[in-house]
Amino acid sequence: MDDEVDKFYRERDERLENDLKKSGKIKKSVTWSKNIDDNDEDEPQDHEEVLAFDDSDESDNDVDYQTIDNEDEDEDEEADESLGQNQQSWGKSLRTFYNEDVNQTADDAKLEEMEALNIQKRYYDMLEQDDFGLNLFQTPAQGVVPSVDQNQIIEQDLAKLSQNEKLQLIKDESPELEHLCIELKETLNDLKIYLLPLVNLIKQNQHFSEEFQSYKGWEFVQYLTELYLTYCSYLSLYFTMKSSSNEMTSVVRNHPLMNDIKQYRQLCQLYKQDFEQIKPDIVELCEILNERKKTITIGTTLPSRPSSSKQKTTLNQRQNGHSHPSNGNGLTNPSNSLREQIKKKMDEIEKLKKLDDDEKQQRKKKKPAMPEVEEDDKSENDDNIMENNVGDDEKIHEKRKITYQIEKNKGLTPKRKKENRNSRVRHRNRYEKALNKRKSRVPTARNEEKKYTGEPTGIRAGIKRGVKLK
Amino acid sequence: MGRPDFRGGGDRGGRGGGFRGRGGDRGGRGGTRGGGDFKRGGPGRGGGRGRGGPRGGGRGGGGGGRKVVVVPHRHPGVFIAKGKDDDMLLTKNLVVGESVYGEKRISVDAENAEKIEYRVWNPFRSKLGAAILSGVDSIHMPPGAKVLYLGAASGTTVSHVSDIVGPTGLVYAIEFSHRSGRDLLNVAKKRPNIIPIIEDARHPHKYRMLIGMVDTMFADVAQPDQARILALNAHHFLKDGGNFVISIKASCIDSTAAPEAVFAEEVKKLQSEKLKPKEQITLEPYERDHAIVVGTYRPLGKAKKEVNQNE
Repeated sequence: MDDEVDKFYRERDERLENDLKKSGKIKKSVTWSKNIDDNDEDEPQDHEEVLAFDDSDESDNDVDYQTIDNEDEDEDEEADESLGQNQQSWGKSLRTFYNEDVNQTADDAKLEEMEALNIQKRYYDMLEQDDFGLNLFQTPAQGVVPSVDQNQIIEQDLAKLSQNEKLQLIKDESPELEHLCIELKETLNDLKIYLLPLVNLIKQNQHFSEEFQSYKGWEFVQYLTELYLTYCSYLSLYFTMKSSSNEMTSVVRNHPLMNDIKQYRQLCQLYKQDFEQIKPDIVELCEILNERKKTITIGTTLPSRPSSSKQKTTLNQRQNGHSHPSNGNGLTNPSNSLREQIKKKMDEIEKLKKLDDDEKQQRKKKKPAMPEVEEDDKSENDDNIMENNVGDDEKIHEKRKITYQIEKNKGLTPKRKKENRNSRVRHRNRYEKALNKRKSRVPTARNEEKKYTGEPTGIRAGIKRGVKLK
Repeated sequence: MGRPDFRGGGDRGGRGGGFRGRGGDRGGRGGTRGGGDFKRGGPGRGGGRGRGGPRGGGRGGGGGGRKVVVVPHRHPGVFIAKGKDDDMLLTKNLVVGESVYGEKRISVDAENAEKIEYRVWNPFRSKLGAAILSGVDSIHMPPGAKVLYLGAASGTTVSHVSDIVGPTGLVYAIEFSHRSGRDLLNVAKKRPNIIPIIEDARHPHKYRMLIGMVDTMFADVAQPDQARILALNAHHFLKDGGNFVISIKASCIDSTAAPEAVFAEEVKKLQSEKLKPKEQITLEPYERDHAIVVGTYRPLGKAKKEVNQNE
């Protein structure tokens, strides 16, 4: 029994040893420690790796590492041999690896610096041309050769396909294309009709640009214009990429450009609502500015562009069917309160605030009548969010006040008499009190000012007040 | 004035009552008092004190016709007039119809249709009166007592003492100042129980032949050595177990020291002279920084006391 068991264990051990030897041979050909050994053959081979890895299966990786190893060899040849010994091995014991990085002397620091430089250099050398730029992402696409082939096959059939089929194909291939197309159109429209005319108008006229510098709304418009322009540029880039090569569809989809487009799209949507609100104002402002420009600076240049933009805007305005209730006022007396009007219309926040104020006043007026109905009516409006906010504010204001006790925040201070605040007064009072007490004990001497008429307090014969002497 | 019920004005509503006094006479006598009485009081000590200016009306402070009841005081010979507003200290007037220093008099009908007249004792003018009002235990001057009075001055207090001791008693009034002595003599002229002596109380041997043994001594000399003066006279005239009453004015003895300290010092002095002080009282509402000390001279033992009483 025992012999059999022993035999089994022995056999297993032998097998293990053999395996280890085999792997060790492979290792010698692959690992860095082997290289070091090769470089310094006079060194004894007592450098065993802490974690030896077996990479006999992966041939590709093996090739890679070998290339790196070759480079390392070159490097090591250049570097000091004694330094190169422990350069890439993990070392034999833990102690040599850990707790050894404390610089005792300046030489230690120097050595460490050199070592760090070496390591850095090694990592740089490991990098290849593919690691920079877009080629990194192209490689997998290239890897998927069969899909490209399929695409090519379909492309050959394109001419034969019907219009609908072509569209379907595009949709399948890149579903975002259509949406982006529409978006680009819209954005460009916005830019052409609303933003750019205004911005140009203001920027070209120094008078206006100075004036508009102080308006918050102007800043908003500027940012919005920039945003839209950037977005458009990104979109156009996308389309160029899309149109340039059909093979690149997958590349385009994974391109970082898509991320940017996504981000800008979100931003645009974020400000879309605000922009929609001020659209009519912008159109109107353009008109007003044009009018003003004519009136103030007749002799100045650049009359063509703003006028054209104005025409455009007016046209668009009619097309869009925007209504401008305050339009007539702005045109009738542009010189009088132009500034205020512009300011009012440009400054979105201010306008909203004023609107709120008006509503508040209205509500105050109508509060006794039917405040709730009023609020309900208003809540149906577009500004219901603002309305609710206002209502909330009022509710917050209705919070009950803090108590006097809380306000004073006295804690557990003992009650002190008012008298004790002023020591002089306290002494005065004390003296007065003592005087009164003494008066009742010892009557104050008085002169006989009037004719003596008797004792007003009466005479009590029985009382003996004398002090007995012993 | 003729009304039997002794109402002051006589024309206020009639009321009966046996022992009712009033400031009856003064109503009618206002005119004369404005002149004579006023002048008489002039040279007295503290001249002008409370005498007031010329009085317009006849009615005095007591008020004619005011209802008063005269009751005897704890001290024999002293009475109290209980009025509606004020109480007054009284002594029974020895000389009816005479005021000594312009004080009010209250006359009461006795049961045997005799008039009893009382004089108001003004505590502001008499330290003995002030002492009584302040509540002194005893003045040791019962009717019939012989009293040696040192520092009699104009005789205001002396007259009251003579009222108290009555016709059976005697008051030896010693006064050194001739000016005051004149008034004293005038008082003594009308009161047979006053023996005025114008002499220095420091020299009792000068008047030792005039005075016999006395039961009580009263001293109001206001001198720094008043304790010595009292003791000297006591050695001469006061009987053993006799009593003394001395008024101490603190500012006269030591104006810098505290009154209480002065009083204590005087008491000590008295104790060293065989005078045994028994009681001390301040005259606070009437006099400033004054004290009355009452005591006994050479107090007797129990046995001797009994012998004395038997005699």
